[in-house]
Amino acid sequence: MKTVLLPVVSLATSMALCGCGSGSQGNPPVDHWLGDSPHLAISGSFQGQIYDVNLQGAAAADVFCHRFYAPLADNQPDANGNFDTSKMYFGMKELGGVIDLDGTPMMFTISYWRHDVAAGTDLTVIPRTFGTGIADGETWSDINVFVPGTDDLSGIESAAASGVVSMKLNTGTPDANGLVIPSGGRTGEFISDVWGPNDKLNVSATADCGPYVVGPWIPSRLLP
Amino acid sequence: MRDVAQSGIWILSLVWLTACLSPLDAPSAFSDQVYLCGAENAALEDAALAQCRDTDAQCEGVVSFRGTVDAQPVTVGSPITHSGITDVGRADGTTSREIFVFGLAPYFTFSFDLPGFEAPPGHTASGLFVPVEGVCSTMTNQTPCEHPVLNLEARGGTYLSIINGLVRDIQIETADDLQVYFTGELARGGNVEGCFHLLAPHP
Repeated sequence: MKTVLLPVVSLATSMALCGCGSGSQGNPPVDHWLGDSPHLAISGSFQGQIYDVNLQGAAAADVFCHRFYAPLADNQPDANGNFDTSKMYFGMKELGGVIDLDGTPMMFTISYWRHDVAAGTDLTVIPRTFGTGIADGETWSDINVFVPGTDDLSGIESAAASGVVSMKLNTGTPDANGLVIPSGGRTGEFISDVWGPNDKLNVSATADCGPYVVGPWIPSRLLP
Repeated sequence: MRDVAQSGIWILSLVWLTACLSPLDAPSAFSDQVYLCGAENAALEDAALAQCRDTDAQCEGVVSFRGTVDAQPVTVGSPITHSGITDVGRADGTTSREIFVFGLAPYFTFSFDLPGFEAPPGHTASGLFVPVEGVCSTMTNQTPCEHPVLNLEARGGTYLSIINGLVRDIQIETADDLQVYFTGELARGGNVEGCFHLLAPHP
């Protein structure tokens, strides 16, 4: 069966075997949401890299949140590039910040897709399958890790196979059409993402959300 | 899912006609995959497309690639299980079309996300694809990110990589028929060459 190892996991395996990627800062493991002040805390390992991050206070000043909305098929932008916000659906929310990995600053983001549920609600993470929809109560959750200032797909981009997104705080005022939150509001989550036995990350994050983003690319990957 | 599975069965059937399997050797299933883009397998590709043109078949064409992905040699021949199109207006008033094709491999599903086609179709240029200049960030604006992408999805997670230096050879481009050959380097290491022949989805 060794001949049938997944290419997807081979890099993670090789990095784990070589023991590289230690990034321990001595923070306590992240096992719950750390509260409503902006922060980003991560513990666990992914592809041989240990994550031991706890950005709080001034260090968390640049932790961010972006909401992504997907235009429905009949929603084309006007001459100014603006979409009709009454013909959209929630695509995903992405939280992130610049963290230290072995002395190297790296942009880390974590996302959940499709269902922007109320505080107190849990979403079950299911494997991401582009080109399909996501049932109520479920979500995809993925991470990006890349050099700050470069393309956000230039580094690692990977969706978890399982886990839980626990919504702890979710505020913001929708526009007159009732769905899209143009900007503002604060969000907080505790996310436990699992890729495999050696690839698990726990993330606690709280951030204020910036202006919304329209993703015309979303409908081909996530059905309404 | 039954339709998708049935679509996958026919390609395996074609492969089994060309090779004998030893049940004791337990070879990688990739060894049974056929690269459908080469002239040597044109007959197989034609047969697969004929299946898709059958109104009972739930596939939208054929996609195949080979190369090195995450340090592993990979060869895949698959029906296009589904596809997607995203049209985005350019500043000059023309429209950029992004094509998504999805397929099945032995241990994962995959998709190619190839932007920069012309809409309406018929005049996309072959050659090196040059994406929009500058840093492309989905987080900060509504500028479309014109990155060709290969995405693999498996039970234990996903692997997504930008394809750099994508070179396209547009063979057919009509409203209901798109045949493209391509090569490129994966930003996360490795390379791919492949093709897809996308037929109009069945009504």
